[in-house]
Amino acid sequence: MAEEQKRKRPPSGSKAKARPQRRRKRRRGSVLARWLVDTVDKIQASRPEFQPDKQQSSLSRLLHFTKQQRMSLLRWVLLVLTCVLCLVAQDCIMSRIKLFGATTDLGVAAILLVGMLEGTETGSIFALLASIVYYFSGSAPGAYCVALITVPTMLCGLFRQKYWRRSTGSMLLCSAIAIAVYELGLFAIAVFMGLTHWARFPYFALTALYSIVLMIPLYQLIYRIGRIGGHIWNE
Amino acid sequence: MKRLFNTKLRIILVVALLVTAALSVLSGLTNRSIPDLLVQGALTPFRAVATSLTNTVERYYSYMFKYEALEAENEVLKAQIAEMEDTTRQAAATSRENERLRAQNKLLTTHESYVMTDAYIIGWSSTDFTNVLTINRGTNSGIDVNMCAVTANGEVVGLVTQVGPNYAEVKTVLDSTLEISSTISASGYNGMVSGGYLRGNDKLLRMNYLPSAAIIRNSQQVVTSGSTVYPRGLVVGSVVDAGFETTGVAKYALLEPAADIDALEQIFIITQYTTDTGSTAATTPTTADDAAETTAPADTTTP
Repeated sequence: MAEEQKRKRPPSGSKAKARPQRRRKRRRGSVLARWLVDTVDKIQASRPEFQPDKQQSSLSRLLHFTKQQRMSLLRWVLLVLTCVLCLVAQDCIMSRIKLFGATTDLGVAAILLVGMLEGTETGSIFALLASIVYYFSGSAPGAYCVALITVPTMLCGLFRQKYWRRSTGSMLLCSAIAIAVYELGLFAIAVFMGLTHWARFPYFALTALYSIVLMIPLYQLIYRIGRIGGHIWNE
Repeated sequence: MKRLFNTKLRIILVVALLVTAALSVLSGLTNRSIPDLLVQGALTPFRAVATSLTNTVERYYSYMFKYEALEAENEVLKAQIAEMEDTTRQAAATSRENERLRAQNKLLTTHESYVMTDAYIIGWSSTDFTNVLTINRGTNSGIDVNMCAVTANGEVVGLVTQVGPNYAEVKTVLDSTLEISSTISASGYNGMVSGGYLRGNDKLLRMNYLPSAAIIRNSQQVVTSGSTVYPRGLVVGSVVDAGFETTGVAKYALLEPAADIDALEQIFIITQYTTDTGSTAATTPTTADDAAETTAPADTTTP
């Protein structure tokens, strides 16, 4: 063993001879590195030190979405489409079906449900934008529906967020309160403007009731769409 | 709750109230804004498809489940047609007599000719206090605001109140805010007809401002008096009830609308109408209204 170690161990004289070879290699490497560093320095020197972010990005960059963003976009597209379909269904089908002289308010129910599902801030912004579109669709009774939809969405959302945990029951209950407030507000404004009379109150109440009943299956659909891309609920 | 009501929510609340106020002002200034045209124009194809599908389903349903009812209705209608044919024969004789008398008395004759555009209903209002229909034709088909909508039989449906390139909104006779100057054809009494919603009759019309001495009978037909908007002689409805106003100085009549608004699928918009005065050459009367007053028979029958 000792002999083998002696063979492997280089003699002290050979150690002195090997060092200059290594130094030569290091020098070559350092020359290359220095040249690279110098080149990079020159390139950097030619450019200004501070470079602002690009104002215009390429089309491919603009269209690039992460998976989360794609899912979020899909979710919103589907939610808006659901609201539009509910609005069309109300105008073309539900308005012709009258039970005890009252019909439903499917478009408003869909907007309130989405608003409630998306949380107070996002939900309120959605309710505001959706109610403006609803007004311009010609189905709304008047401009006051913008405030009548946005304010109950915001207040009921806040109330639920403060006192109840997020569950199907609490969401449906708050949406039901919101639509009842909407119909009550609509009735009050109509009476104030002389468009209706007190005896019509039961019809408004029935409209709210029918809409609440329709909210139950509608909530299941909107909840499923809302789950696309995972829960983003933050309270 | 106070802590949750943060600045962002306060801003949204203020924006919502400001938008409401701005839109209220805008709707008072104009009834045709660009967002209106965009949103309603985009929704019109969806509404047209949905209504078409609904009508098809309804037709199949009626065919399958209401066949016997339709058969019975057909029999009733056949009897009505026979009755009406008899009335038409009598009317033709009366008309000839009328022409002879007109010529004898040198009265002017008036002929009204209409240009109509057909349209399908694609939307119904669902608010309790409004009664508005949306149709699938607009300015592209020559329809404009304040044009009269009628059924194929000349029964008044309503008035065009808003119009876009491919849609128009028609306020029906059942809407309380629409008033039509009308005449009870049998007696010649004039009054204003509007929807009876505000007086608790949401399916009936109410004819106001009738003279307190007027003799009104059930089933009497009420027609338009004629104006710049409504041609003369369009059927509005028939009397079902009458009574005194609370003030006691005037009478009112409740009318059943001639057009079955809820069952309508297709309506016609009178895009042009002209009133030609005949050449029977006379000194009096000179206007169509005068002629109407002259020719309207005074009803002296007891109720």
